[in-house]
Amino acid sequence: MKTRVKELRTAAGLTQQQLANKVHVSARTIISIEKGQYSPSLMLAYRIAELFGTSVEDLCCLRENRELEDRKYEDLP
Amino acid sequence: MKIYHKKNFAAGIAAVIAGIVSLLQLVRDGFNLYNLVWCGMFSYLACTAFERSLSRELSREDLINERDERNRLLRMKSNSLTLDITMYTAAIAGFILDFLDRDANGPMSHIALGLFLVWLFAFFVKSTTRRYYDKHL
Repeated sequence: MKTRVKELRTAAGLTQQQLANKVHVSARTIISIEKGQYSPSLMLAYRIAELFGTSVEDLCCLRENRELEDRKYEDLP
Repeated sequence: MKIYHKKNFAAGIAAVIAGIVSLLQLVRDGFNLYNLVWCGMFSYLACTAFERSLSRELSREDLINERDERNRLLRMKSNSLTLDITMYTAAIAGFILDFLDRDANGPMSHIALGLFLVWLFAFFVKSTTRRYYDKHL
C-alpha cells in the first residue's frame, strides 16, 4: 500500500529510527511501510498521522489505493 | 538492580540451570568436548539474557521488537508455514516409508505410523486452535 510516510518524514527532518521511536515500532516496520511492502494497522496509521498533523486518509492515500484495489476486482463476474 | 524485561531474566535463569547441569555432567563424565561446548554456550546465553533484562535501553529495544506489529505478523506467518511444511513432510515421509517396507511389522512401518500420528496430532491441534480463534477474534 502506497503511503506518504517518507515524504512527511523527510519534510519533518526525522530519520526512520526517530520516527519508529516516536510511534513505538521498529525501524524495520517504518522501512517496510515506506517501501509499500507493509500496510500499517489502523492504530499505527493514526499515530503517524497525528504526529505529522495530517489525516489517516491523506497519510495512506486511501482514495488512490482504493482505486488500485478496485481495478483488481474488475474482472469479477 | 531493576529487572526491566522479566522474560529475558527468566531465560537467563533457565540458561544458568542448564549450564549447571552441563557442568555437573562434565564433572561426572570427565573432560568431554561436547559438554564443554554446551556449558560455554549456556554461560554465554545466560550472560546475554541477564545483560538485556537489566539494561533499560536493551529491554526497551527487545520489548518494542516483541510488540512490533510487523514482527508479530512475521512470527505468525512463519510459524504457520513451518507447521504446514512439517505436517505434510511427515505425512509424505510416512507414506513413502510404509510403501518401501514390505513387512507390515517392520521398523519402517513403525516409523511411518509414528509420522502419521504426528501428522494427525498436528491436524487436530490446528483444527482446534482455528475453531478457538474463529470464536474469539
